[in-house]
Amino acid sequence: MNPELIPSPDMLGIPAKPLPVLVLMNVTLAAHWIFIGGAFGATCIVLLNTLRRTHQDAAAKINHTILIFLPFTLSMGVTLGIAPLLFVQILYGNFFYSANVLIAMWWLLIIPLVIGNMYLFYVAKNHLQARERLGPALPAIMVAVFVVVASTLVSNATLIQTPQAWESVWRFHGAALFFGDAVVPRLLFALFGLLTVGAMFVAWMGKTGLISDEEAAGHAVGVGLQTALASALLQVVAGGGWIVSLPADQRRTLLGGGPITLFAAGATTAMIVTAVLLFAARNSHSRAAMSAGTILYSFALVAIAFARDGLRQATLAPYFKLSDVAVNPQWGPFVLFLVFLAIACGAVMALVRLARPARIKHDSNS
Amino acid sequence: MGRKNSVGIEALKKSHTALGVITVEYPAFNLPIVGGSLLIAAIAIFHVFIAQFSVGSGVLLAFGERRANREGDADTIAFLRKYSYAVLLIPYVVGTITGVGIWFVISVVHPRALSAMIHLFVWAWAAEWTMFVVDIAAIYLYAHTWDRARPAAHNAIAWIFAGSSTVTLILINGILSFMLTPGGWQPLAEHGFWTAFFNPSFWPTTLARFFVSLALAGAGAIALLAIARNIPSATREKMTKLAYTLMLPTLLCPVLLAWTFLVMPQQSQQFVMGGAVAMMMFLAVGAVCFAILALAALIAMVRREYTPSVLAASLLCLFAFLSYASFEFVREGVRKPYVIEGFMYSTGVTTPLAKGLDRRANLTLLSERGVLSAAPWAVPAGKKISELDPMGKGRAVFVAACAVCHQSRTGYNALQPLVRYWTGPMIRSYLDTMHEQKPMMPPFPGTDDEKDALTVFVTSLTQRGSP
Repeated sequence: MNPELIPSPDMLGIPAKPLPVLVLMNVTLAAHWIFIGGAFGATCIVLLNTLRRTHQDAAAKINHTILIFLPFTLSMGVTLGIAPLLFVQILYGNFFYSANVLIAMWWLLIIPLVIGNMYLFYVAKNHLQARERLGPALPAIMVAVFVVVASTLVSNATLIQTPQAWESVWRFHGAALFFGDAVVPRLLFALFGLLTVGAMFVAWMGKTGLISDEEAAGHAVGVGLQTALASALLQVVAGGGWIVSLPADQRRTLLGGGPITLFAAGATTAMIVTAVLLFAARNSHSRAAMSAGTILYSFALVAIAFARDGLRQATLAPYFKLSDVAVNPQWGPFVLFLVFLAIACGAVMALVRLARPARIKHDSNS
Repeated sequence: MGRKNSVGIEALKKSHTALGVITVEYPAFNLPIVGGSLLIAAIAIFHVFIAQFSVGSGVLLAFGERRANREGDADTIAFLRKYSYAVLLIPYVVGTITGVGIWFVISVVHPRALSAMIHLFVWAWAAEWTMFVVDIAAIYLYAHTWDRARPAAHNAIAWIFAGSSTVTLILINGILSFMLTPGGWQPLAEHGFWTAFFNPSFWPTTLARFFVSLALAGAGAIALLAIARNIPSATREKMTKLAYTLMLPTLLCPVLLAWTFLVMPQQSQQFVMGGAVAMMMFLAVGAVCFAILALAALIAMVRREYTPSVLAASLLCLFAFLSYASFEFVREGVRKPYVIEGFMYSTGVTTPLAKGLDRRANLTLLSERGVLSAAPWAVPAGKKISELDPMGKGRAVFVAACAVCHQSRTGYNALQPLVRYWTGPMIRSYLDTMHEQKPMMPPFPGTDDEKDALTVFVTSLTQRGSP
């Protein structure tokens, strides 16, 4: 490719050493995935529940509680996504912006799609409240919107590290997505991961009493754990497919030893052990096994974020190295951020404590 | 790609309203007819309007609930509960996503400007993000725990919400105001972040935005009071009084805007004072709407009119939006020809201030090397600049240096209507001195040869169609 097509890194340089920015980016990205996964996976379970032939009352109650929580989960997911969005611009802005432009129509479509989905949550909840039954059409649309948005984001993330494909994608002037270089298995890997998280969310809703009806709560735990187990296993399979379909040089990088391999192996191990724990908990609904699985899977997400970034760095190495970018640290503002982060953590804990008596009931005002 | 697609894309290119245009360094997105810059303005104004409404709403909810708790006023609590749902359903559903949406749009329309702003202010934005997280947690817990949390604890949630959202306003305003009044900021200078953040217009604009937030929350409460049914007259009166009280501080806004005017760059002052007709018009619209609002609120307070009709409440909200949008449009507009005053032009080319720092698209460099040297996406794939004929080269210069603000034939800021009766020599001469003749225009960022080529292209848009 013509290297001139790659814009230069920003003239103002990175406002901190790359490592802390990289760590912040990957950790906040995992936090973003947890809430977005919560929203996507829980929406999938709403859809599955609408297709059930048995235990329809319990399914409706589960759906009602999920639909109460979905707007918050998605709002928080979007908000948590701001941090990695900031840090990716700091580290890879010249590649990130180019990728955005190359799929601009789809990239911009994300905004109305997500707003639309947010209101669909409310429409579905009100519909369920009014008629006591929810058909599969609305949840199917909601799931489809999530899939379109995820496809766009995965396409974007792959384009960032594939500058050699830019010219061919630009021929469509922003109207086409990029589906080369293992995008499809990567998308499946992401979707199964998000489904695993969301299914765990639903299991915890049942376990922690957020669903007040005892029978429905038990069903929520069962359905959540079984779905999480199935999707965690499918994610491992999709991950294998992703590795196999990677270009040979990227596959060698991923499997060739070093920190990237360590993160990838760590993530795979964590996913498999999570699946074992979910399997063990599927009948007993053991809180200990669920907690261990949740913690382990969170680590898996962080490890995936680091492996993914390591692969990106290796792929971009012929064109760009983070170590070559000028660093102009802003230590004072960085400390300011850390202070705000501490205040925010304290404030969120205080908020949860202040609202502690809260328990969701099936009333019309929720 | 198939032949059919190739033909379609060629047609798009020829129409000059293709989805893609090129700015320096990056390919960039351009929405046909509307244009990228108008798209940014639209989403930004809409987002900031509802975001500021939510900031003021936090204060209104906290004050209103505290007083209602003290008085044991269940009716007012019932109204505030409705109000909190409205805040959740509109600003927090749409606001959260359009906030991210602004970045999405700017990243495809003006990546270089966004990149510079992010690299300068990343830690301020990251700090703001932490407060967003608190905001989201607070408003959802607040709206969903009216029956469940203890009253004092529930009110404490409102205060946390009001506090965190006010801090987000302060943080974002430091960033926004910098773009117009960077003051003594120098790229990479020591303490540059603080100089940039606490820029000359930081205090007046922060105060003005906070006061406007309170007024918008008040207007929202009045609208809800007018729409909602079964609200006892005592509650209606109490809440309308509170709403009017929250609107009162905006009477200080003219003073704060005058303060802002005084610290604005001289050129921006001239735009407002008549140098740019559009800016004057929008300023006038904003001022008139503001005066109507202030007068209506004052008369209503004096006459103790606490039961506004749906029509009156709708007009109140409409005038509030028009006033706000006009002032925001002026704030964006008077910054021209810069996107970051004194540092980066709206074309993405940096000023001589960044000479030595920007090694690819600095004005000084480009006047020697040519704008196309920094805009490889403007040159058709597989071709070299030297292989382009004057028309092709002129088109490439247009997309690299002009298309970020101008459409070619039709749409927002289209060139064709502006040059319809011009001749080739007029256009060529104008390119030499456009930044002097029209201070909203940046200097041409290229060589004489590129000016000649651009003249050929622009002349093709005139009535004559050729030099």
